[in-house]
Amino acid sequence: MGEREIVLNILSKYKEISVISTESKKILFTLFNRMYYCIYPLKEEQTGRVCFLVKSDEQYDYPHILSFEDHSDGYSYICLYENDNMIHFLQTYEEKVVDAVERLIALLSLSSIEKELEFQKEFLYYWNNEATNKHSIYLFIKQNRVFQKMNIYNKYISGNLVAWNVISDGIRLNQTTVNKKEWNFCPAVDAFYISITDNRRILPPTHNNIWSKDDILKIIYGKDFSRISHDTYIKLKQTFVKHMYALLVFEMIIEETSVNFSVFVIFRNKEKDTLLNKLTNDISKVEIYSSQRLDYYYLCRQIGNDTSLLNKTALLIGAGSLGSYVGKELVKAGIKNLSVYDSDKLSYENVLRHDTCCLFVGQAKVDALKAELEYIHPEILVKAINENIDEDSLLKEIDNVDIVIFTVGNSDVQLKLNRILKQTHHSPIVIYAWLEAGGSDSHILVIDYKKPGCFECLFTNAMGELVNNKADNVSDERLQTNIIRNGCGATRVAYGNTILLRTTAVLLETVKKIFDGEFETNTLIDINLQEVCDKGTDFVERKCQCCGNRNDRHL
Amino acid sequence: MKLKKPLADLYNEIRIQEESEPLREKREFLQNDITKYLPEEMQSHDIDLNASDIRIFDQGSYKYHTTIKTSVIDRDVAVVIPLDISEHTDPRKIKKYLKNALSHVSTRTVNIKEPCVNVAYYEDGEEWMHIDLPLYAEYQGNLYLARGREFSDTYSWEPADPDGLNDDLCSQINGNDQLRRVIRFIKKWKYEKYKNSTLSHEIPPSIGITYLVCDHFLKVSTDEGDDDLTAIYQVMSNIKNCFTVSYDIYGNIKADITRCLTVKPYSDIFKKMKDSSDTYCVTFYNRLSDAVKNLRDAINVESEHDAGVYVKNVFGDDFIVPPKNVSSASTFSKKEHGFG
Ligand SMILES: [Zn+2]
Ligand SMILES: [Zn+2]
Repeated sequence: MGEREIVLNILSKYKEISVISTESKKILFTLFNRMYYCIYPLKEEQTGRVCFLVKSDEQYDYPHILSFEDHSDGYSYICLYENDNMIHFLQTYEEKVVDAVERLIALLSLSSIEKELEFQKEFLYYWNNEATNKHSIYLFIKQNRVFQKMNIYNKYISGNLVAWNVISDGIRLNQTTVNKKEWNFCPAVDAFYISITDNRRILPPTHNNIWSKDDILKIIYGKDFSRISHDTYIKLKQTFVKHMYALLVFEMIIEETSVNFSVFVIFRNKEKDTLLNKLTNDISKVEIYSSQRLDYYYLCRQIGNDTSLLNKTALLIGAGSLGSYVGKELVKAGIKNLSVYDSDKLSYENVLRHDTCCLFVGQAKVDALKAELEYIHPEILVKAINENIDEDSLLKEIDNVDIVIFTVGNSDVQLKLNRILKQTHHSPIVIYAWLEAGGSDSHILVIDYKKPGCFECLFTNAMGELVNNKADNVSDERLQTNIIRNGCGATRVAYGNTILLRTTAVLLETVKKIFDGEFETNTLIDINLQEVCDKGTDFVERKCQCCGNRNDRHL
Repeated sequence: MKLKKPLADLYNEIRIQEESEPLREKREFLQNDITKYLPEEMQSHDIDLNASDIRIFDQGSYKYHTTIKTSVIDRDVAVVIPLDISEHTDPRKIKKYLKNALSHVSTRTVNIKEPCVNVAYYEDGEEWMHIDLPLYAEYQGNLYLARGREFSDTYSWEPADPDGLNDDLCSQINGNDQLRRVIRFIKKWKYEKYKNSTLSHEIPPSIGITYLVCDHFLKVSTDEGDDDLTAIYQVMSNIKNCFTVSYDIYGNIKADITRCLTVKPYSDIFKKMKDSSDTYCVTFYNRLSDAVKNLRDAINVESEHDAGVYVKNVFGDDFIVPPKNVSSASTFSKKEHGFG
């Protein structure tokens, strides 16, 4: 049987459907008093799917009917496969057709509450379709979901308003991405964040259901039930407005995702009154604005970052290749506040394994890294110190950070600072990470100084004597062949960059585990081409001169 | 476990957690007016009443947090005043005074009903909310409910114990979330089935439903959490079994149910319903039997979709039936997603 016969055969089994005509590749039919046509794929198009279009009707607001996307001769496309969780390749041709028809009938048979859910799932799609603002609106909202006044900053380019940054108090933006000279505080518009706690009956605007002040009233003063918390309501009563304009930024949770939408409200006059009174009595016009939520917290949630990392601060010692990889992944994983110490400059020889780029050659590595990281997101704040960290700075820094990460390839630095950290008694958890030459082996040491074990244990034998790093596996000979000398003792080891990716990945997991409280003891982790190996506390030396028991040392 | 999410969604759809702001405001106005104007009104009829002696408190679903969404908001607020009922034997008069005290505001409509003073609010000619104010006299340490319509011949100060009732139900419901859910679900069933009923006493009283559910509830849960579907089924089926069913010589069914208050006046909650018409109890029984049958079928069928269709017969369109899977299960892949 040909494709058309199969489709016709299946359609004829549904009593709701009456086929009207079958043009070349389209089958026209009626279903629930509307005209549809069906486009079907060829059998050999195994990933193909069956599509339906409905005769367009201005008065018809229905979820998943893409009314604005008018296809040929006034038909609109119906979206049946939004979730992409179906592998069409695996379906038989008959299955494809039956599946599509069943989906269509199910879609058209939705109860009003199901329609509401479908409209809500695509709330922003509808919202943005009706939006009237020409300028971009970026929202930076604090994560606590309580009513708040927000500040608007505007940006003009050759006399034209191009963007608003709408920012909660307490959110700081870096200067790399948000240059203060370009953005001006906009005092003429009040902006408020209003969290919706109950979404029932809140529908997006559509062609036939444009938002008016009644929709705002339904949210803030719903008769049937409250859609905002009583606390928010009280705040609306206590907050005064004295301008003609207000931007309301609403947030509701739909299927566990934040949906933020903005309404621009024009009041009848400038008379000062409470926000509640203004909104209930004084609105002259409501405009739908499209806006984009950009705050770091929201974006972290969007990609599924571990929220235990948010609001944590890290001290990164070393902005070389490993430090640059680690720094970039930390800020992408949720740690947006970073202090970085390094006295080196970026050189061409190092550029292919540094996570910054040629643009920064000749500049301090920390400045290059700061610029690179702050460009990722405006809330990322990097404190770049173009120095090797000394005892004083270290002691000051550790009081302000939640974790210290060593990414320096110099054991002297680590041994010296390890002793200082051990002695302070108030060090946060410290990670030592280092790469062996040869490009295969690397190591991560997790130290909580309240527990047995420290970096110096690695350099201590059972007798309490100092020895070379016992964790290292690569022979001295192999090391020699990888060393590149560039004058006066400066050496660089050629190890490529896969070791950087491996080590960074494990380090990132380690940081998450630390903040999730998964480490009960200090731990040495060995990483090589084949495996990641948790060596636990084997490295701890009881006679270590730094962390060991003093009595043991003289036994 | 069957229909866990659809029932959870239904619950979120039907429940009212807190009073809405307009309701809160109207209620607070009302309470203020009672304390402000009722003493004056009583004074003009030579009855002493101190504002500070008036006690106002929640009764009913807002008190037990078992409110569900209905087309008209309905709230019960008890008003207790000290009164010598041996002297003031006619509760209709006192209710009239309460009505007068509240009638100076044009936005509300105050009516005297048999068990309470009813304050209704209208918008565009349609009632959107009412607050029922049962009025109690406190006399010699006991409370008496003012019964009787404004011009009715039957009236009385009926012994009552609204505090005891509140305590009794709160102690059963608070801390028992599944019970609270089941009460709301079964109230939703009642609301759906009696949507078009307008005759007084045709509808089984909410307090009766609440008591019956409390009487017959048994917690049902599995490793996956609470099994509300089975819990609802068991309660409704147990309630059904509480009816005394008989057939007269013509084969007509007769049904009877009794549930007495556990506090004063210890009367049968369903008495009015039964006294009004023999058919009311039969209807109640039949509708209940219907629900029990649908719930049993839902539990017995295999697919979520088919089970959902049965449950929708019980709760109406607010219940969302899970979609049926047409294609072979293997073509679905929950793991499939873009790598954006
Ligand atoms: Zn869609
Ligand atoms: Zn040690």
